[in-house]
Amino acid sequence: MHLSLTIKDTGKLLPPDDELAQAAGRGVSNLVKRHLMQRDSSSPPSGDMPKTGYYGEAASSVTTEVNGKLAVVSIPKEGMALHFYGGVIYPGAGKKALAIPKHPATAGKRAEEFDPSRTLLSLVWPKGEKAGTLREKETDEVYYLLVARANIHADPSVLPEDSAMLDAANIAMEALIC
Amino acid sequence: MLTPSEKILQKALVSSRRLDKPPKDENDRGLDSRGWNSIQAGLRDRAFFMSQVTEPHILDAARRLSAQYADGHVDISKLRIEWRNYLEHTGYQPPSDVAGTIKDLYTQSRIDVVLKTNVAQARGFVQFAEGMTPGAFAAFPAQEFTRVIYRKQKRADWPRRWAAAGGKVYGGRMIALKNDSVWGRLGAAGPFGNPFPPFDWGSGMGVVDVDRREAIELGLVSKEQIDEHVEKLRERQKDGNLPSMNGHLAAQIPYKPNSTEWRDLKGKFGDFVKFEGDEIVWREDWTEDFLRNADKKGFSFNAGLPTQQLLDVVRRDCEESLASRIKGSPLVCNDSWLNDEDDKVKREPGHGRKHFYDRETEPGNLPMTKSDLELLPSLWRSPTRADMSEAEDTTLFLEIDTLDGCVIQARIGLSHNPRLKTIFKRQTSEIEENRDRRRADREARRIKQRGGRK
Repeated sequence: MHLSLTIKDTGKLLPPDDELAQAAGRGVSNLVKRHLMQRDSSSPPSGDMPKTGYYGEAASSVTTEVNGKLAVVSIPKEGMALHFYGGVIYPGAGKKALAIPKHPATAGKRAEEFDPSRTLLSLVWPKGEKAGTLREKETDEVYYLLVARANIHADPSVLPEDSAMLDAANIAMEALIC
Repeated sequence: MLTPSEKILQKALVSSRRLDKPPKDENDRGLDSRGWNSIQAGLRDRAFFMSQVTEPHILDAARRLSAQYADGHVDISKLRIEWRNYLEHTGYQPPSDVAGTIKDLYTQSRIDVVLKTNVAQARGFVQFAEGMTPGAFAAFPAQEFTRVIYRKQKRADWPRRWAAAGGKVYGGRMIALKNDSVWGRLGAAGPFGNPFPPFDWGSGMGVVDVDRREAIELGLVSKEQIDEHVEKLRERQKDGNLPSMNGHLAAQIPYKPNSTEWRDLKGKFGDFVKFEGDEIVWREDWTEDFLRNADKKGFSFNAGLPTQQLLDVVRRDCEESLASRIKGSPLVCNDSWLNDEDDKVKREPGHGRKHFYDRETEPGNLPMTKSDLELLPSLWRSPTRADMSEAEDTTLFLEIDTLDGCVIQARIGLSHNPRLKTIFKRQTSEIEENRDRRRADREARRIKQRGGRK
């Protein structure tokens, strides 16, 4: 996402460009951070799965890089771009299915990590079905759902609206000249 | 400005135990986190340390994984899988008395603590630095101490800690100017000692900016005081603030020519340390110096005396006589380094530098990066393995495993004093094949010398 601001000379002595960019970048960064914190505290757990603090982690990852007039706000958290833009996830090379954790014990763990020796879980994939499961051998509980691919719908609400970010940048810059 | 991953990669690898002295006993694994926390915070912040881990290659692997986690391209589960695969590859086995506990490097709790704490600290540092740029400070001069990440179990004593650090509360909110000493005191009371989050292990508490208008309204600061501080920040920015992490690492011992301390440091670390004015400092620019100047006439670099750990590895993997031969002799890298004079095929000077970046032409080698070369002190001080040339003991091979499943090998000429001949990176399988071949040739030569007797 790219936001562009044009600064009009009002006759007042403006601070240097890089300082305006620092203020604008920090303003947007703060807004994004608070937005993600709010999402973290208000989002309920998904089914039986424990809450992970994913959006809080994303909030704590927000950084701003300023280069001359340009400020770049980043959220270096895996999956953020996928949530925002949406997309289709396919299994990695050599893998036949995606394993989606469905049991609290598997939260945040790939199947390869949970059962590296492939002794704890058994594969159940009825012929002709689109999805299979990895089940705990003794209890037969579903630990992972197996699918050939996963469609992630775009969710622009993971970020504040563009207009709010522009306002945040403007307000931060105004603070420097008032 | 640094990114969090760059900040992590700039940290120096610090072993939990001195490598120049043998362990007291087999259970001596060096400093734990409590001991480490008693060391100056400024030094800790510049170091990559893991409780009771002595091996640089394990520290290096953890450092690289932490940097990857900070970049946000991979999930932590994948990194844990890579970590365990790496430990298996290196043959790491936890001591029987700690297996399954947090001291066991295979456990999820251990690697999570390492990755999450290092990444949180690096992010805390970078965000703190970004907030102290003149423009950001002028617009947001204060910050609020608050919960940023959800935690199922929350510490209840943060308001008490805040008050103990001298922090004030405004309408129930813990707010202070960014340059207030309360942040330093809050950090000093915790395990990390930094004026930025995290302030404790696994803490979800962090900071969010408070804008200029609100800071003035709360009576925290006046417009004039903000302008005054912004001017100071401008001056600092002109001086090039936030240099590389270890750029200003200096010993507490002042430099005095011919003092025992200086001679001792110089002997152990060679030209990795130097004096500037009256201070002893770590030479941060040595890798650049190597890459730019190593084939120029007169170039010479002393990498310091062999450590006890190196001698032990040489004894274990080669011969006692070889260890005795290098004991007390510093490794020297001169203008012939990377220029293998002993090769039967004479090559142009400096050919070995083709092992770096995109200039690597040997099909079996992988291009090295600057961060690979930075392992040279670890290769010389605490290698994973050692080997020697097949014909006669004129070349010592020192190896260190890397996280990406490869091996970096340095070849040390022993015709006179130890001299770096070359350094390159290969796939583990290729290195192992060559090592097996050398050992077989050496054995065959021995048998021949003994008249065919095994």
